[in-house]
Order: sequence, then structure tokens, then C-alpha cells
Amino acid sequence: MEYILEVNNLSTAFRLRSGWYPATTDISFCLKPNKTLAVVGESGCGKSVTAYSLMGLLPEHGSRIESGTALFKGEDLLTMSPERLRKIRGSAMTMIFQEPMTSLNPVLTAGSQIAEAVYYHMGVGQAAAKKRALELMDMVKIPAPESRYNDYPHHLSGGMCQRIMIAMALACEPDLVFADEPTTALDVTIQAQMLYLLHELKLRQQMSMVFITHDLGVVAHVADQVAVMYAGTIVETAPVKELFGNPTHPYTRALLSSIPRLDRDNRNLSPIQGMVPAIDAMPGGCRFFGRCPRKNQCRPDELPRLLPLKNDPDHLVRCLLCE
Amino acid sequence: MRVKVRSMNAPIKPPLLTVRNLKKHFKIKRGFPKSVTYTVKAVDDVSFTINEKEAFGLAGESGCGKSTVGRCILRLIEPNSGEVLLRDTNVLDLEKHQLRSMRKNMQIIFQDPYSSLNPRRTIGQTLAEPMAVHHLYPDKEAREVVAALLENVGLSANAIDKYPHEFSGGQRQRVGIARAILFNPDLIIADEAVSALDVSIQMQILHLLQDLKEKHALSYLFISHDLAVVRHFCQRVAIMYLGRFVELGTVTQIFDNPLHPYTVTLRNASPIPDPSVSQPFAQLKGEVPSPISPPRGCHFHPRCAKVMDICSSVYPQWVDIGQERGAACHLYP
Repeated sequence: MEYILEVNNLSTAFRLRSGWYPATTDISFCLKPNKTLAVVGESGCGKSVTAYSLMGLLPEHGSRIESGTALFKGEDLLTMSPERLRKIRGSAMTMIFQEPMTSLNPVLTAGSQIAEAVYYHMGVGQAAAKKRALELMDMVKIPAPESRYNDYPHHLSGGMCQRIMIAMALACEPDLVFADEPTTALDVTIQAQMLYLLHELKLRQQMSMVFITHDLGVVAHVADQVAVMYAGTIVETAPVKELFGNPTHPYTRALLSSIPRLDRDNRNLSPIQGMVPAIDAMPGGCRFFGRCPRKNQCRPDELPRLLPLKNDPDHLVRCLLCE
Repeated sequence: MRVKVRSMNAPIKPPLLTVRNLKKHFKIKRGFPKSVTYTVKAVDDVSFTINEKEAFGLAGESGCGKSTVGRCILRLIEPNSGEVLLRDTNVLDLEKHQLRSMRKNMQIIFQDPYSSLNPRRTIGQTLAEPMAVHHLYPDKEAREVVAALLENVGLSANAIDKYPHEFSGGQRQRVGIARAILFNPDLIIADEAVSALDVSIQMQILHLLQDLKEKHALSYLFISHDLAVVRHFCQRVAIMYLGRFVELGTVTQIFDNPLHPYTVTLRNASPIPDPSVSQPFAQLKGEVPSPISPPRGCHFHPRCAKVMDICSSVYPQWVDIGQERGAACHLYP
């Protein structure tokens, strides 16, 4: 099996008062085993929606999957029976949520929330589940797990809560983990520790990861492959070094030249003018057209396809000018 | 001798803002049914100056007291002790009505553009209110002034009759900036002013602040947790940890050649958007301790890579190292 996750032409829509509008359009990507794909984009670009639709976590009312397939180890997640999905979700395929402080259940102890996943998915007794939970807490480097097991989330710091979340996600040795902005709510020194922990665990556990973030600095350190999203579409995808070394889509280029760097003086930073189009006013053609510095050379009416560059089949770009 | 050296250079202007030994200790109660009162030293003996037309950065992790410093300077929070001089006026001595007119010279931009605007008022009403308070313009003129102001910050003049919910985060932050520059202040305290914004919008707002700085000869106290943004926007920066300054200097000094181990830690932990730069994330340890009971001696010593015996018992003195630079660390006696 070459790919652990293969998503083709996934489109989702949300219902607003006046009808259905596309949240994501034509999302396609492949993920090899033991690799990390970073999905990067600004708020509202559809990066979380993509993960939620693959996990089957989109709300039943008010959202729907319009088209596409998503093969996880050969099975289509989008047409799978709910029973089967429930079996996979939380064991073979898990998620680390944003904001650890609000994603944990405040009325259950931290340890029991880890043990719950083990108990349901691994078919073991309560005592064995607790033992496994303590092992996991040790693995994510929570000091003195026995005394922390009975702590409630409000006893723990943000970093500790995130370690609990990671332990929950890794409880059943998943093949694929979605990490939705797992470090965004944390301070930089804690973020660095989390990134290192995830890196270590990935090597140890042999898992693949879809890492959702808006921070290009984080992307540079966690990713093997990067997908840049803009207004519901993937505009560019490439291996991490290629993406940073040879950004090709005008949006990626503009994004990289608008972020300051800490390790050098930043002289010629230029902001991207304009704003992301709203979901109910999405242009029919290229989503970036209105803000694109090369729009004079381009046509507004055609949505370009995500195509590989001539000289590099691993580097795909959705732009009429870059084919 | 000293006088001679000075006279050779351009005449040294007195700083715009001088903060000396600023302290703010909060009392908090914990526990039930018997509560115990603790003291949180949110700001503990902080001193610095901001020059005319300078952007001075204040950086640190959440809970280090950087916002409290900003609010104490404006007296949105009353500090316990210290001095805040805006040119020659001691802000902390002013009576209530004097304080109000002084605030024309010092303004603040808040972090969250979603919660800092009144949702029931149009942008025009929000911006006209301070003018009415200060009896600045008659109502008719006020509208024109507001319209001009909005164009000044890159919004269209018809925004005047719209409500906050009709704007995006970046546009709301522009309204917040318009409110801050209303009276042509000398100093603006920007409290995480771009932190809630997306990267592409963040740079737009930083450019706007930069333009205004040059146009109106403004100075900024730029509070941020994002070191890369501080490096881009500021000339000098102070790094704060648990209520105290640990290091102060120009941005190039601090970020290219940090002295204090905490500054080194912060710098190494900030991810650089370049996969060819490898960063030593593995070496970081520990969490920020609770400000209720900071570690004895140097607050940073339990996490410090270069900890010595003295660090756990004595808080290091502030030492000036060369011009415009200082640190509080036992490594630099």
C-alpha cells in the first residue's frame, strides 16, 4: 500500500440562511505512511473543515459532503457505515484538538479520559485500561502520572492538558493522527516542547500525521509534505524544502514574503493587499484572483486545476500562470 | 569629560516616557471555605524609557506582566508604586480631570478587535464619543473629522454608519487604531495589536502603524509575544519573565546576540519559517511557574541551562552592559 490516506476531489458545503455554499472545493492529497502532511492557511480557509469531514465530525445539519472519496487504508471514509467509522475513529485514526483547555471534559479526571479510549477500543478491563493510561501519561512526559491521574483538567496547565490530549490520541496506537492547531493556544517555549514530543512519538509509534496550522514557522519544522490552502482550495502542495525553496503559487509567494523572521533583519516585507473572499461571495474562478499581483496576465472566470509542474511531478500548483 | 562626549554628538533629547521602579502587586484570594490571600507580583520593579519616535517592544510569555505594564502607564490599572513620566509630567500624581486630558497624549490599541468595539454603536458614534468628552469639535465638524480619520487608516468614509459586525478583524483593528490616533497622541500602547489577525492581515496593520508613526511622529510601546514581529517593528525591546525585565537592548542585540538564558530560550523556541534552519527544540524544559509562588532567587533558575548555586538564593541585580543594554543575570556581574 503506497498511501495511508488518499483524498480525491473532496468538496463540502455549509448551509447559510440563503442556501448552500462551498466550504472546501476539490481537495485532493495523498499521505504516505510515517509522514507528516502540514495543511497551512489562514482562518476560514477550510483546513479544519477538511479534517472534520474526513473524521466524520461535521455537524449532520447544516453541512454536507458534496463529492469526493477519501481512502484510509483502502476503505472510503465518506461512504463507510457509521458503526465501522466509530470503530476506526479513536483507535486507528484519531485527532488532537485545538485548545486543550476547552476540549477536555471538565467533569472527568484527566487520566480517566485517556483510559476511556483504551477501554472502548482495545477490549480490555478497567484496571488494564488504567495501567495503559498511566503508561501513556509517562510517555508524553507528565511528571508523576499516578498523582496526576486523578486531577481534573482545571488543575492542569495548558501544556499539561495538551499532553493529556496527545496521550488520548495515541492511546490505541493509531496509524493516522489529525492534529488541528495543537500548539496554537500555547506559549512558544511550551509549543517547542510539544513539537519535539510529537516528533519523538511519531518516530516511535510509526504513525502518519495531518498537521493543521496557520504558522509557517511550525510547518517548516514538522512537515514532510505541505499543502497550502486558500479560500477552500489547495493552491499548492509540495515537499517541505521544495515549497519553501521554490514557492510557485502567487499566494504562497506573497505569504512567505509577508512574514517577519526572527533570525535576520526584515527589510522588504510586503503585505498582501485586500481580504479573503467571504463564503457567500466566492469567485467562480481562481479564488485568489482579486488579490493576485499577476492578475493582469490572467483570466478571472476559470477555476484552475491542481496540476504538477512540468519539471517536478511532486510539486502541484493551482494556477493558470504556473502550468 | 562626560559633558564633552555628549556635546560632540547631536544634543540628546530627553526621553518621551520614563518609567521608574514600577510595581503592581495584585491580591488574590484562593480556597474555600477558608480563603487565603496571596500576592501576585504582576509587575515588580520595572524601569525603562521610550524615546521620541521610537517603537519599544515588550515581549514575554503569557502571564509575565507585559499587559499590566501597559495598563499601569495609562493608569487603567493603578500601580502600587513607581514613577511614570510623560516628558516632565508624572502621570501617577495627576488628579482625575488632569489624567483625562493627559490621556489625549497617550492612547491604547487593544488586542481583540472583536470585543473592544461596542456592537450597538456605529463606527461613527464610537469615534465621535471621545471628541464630545473632550469638547473638541462641534457635532457637525466631528463627522467630517471622523470620515477623514477613517480614510487615514485605510477604511472608506462610508464605514462611518456601519456597525462593527459588518467588518472583518483587520478592519476592526483599523477602527481601533483610528480611535487611538484621534487626538494625535505622542505615545500609543499597542497591546498585542496584531496577535488576533491572520498573517496576511497582520503585515497590513503593521505597515499602517509604521506609516502613522512616520506621519505623526508617534512612539509605541509595542506589547507582543511574537518575537519576529517585535524584531520587524521595534528598535529596542525588553524581555519580561514573571513580572521583571530580564534583558533590554536593541532588537539586533537581543535577537542576534542574546545574553540572558531566558532570551536564548525564547529565541530558540520561536519557529523560523525555513526548513533548512534546525532549531534545538529538544533542549527546552519546564513550564512557566505560577506567579503566585515564583521560584526563590532568579525566577528562571529551575528552567535555566546555565544555572549556578547562587541563582537559587539571590535575585540578580540589573546590570548595564554597554550603551542601551542591560540584563539581570548572575552570569553578568
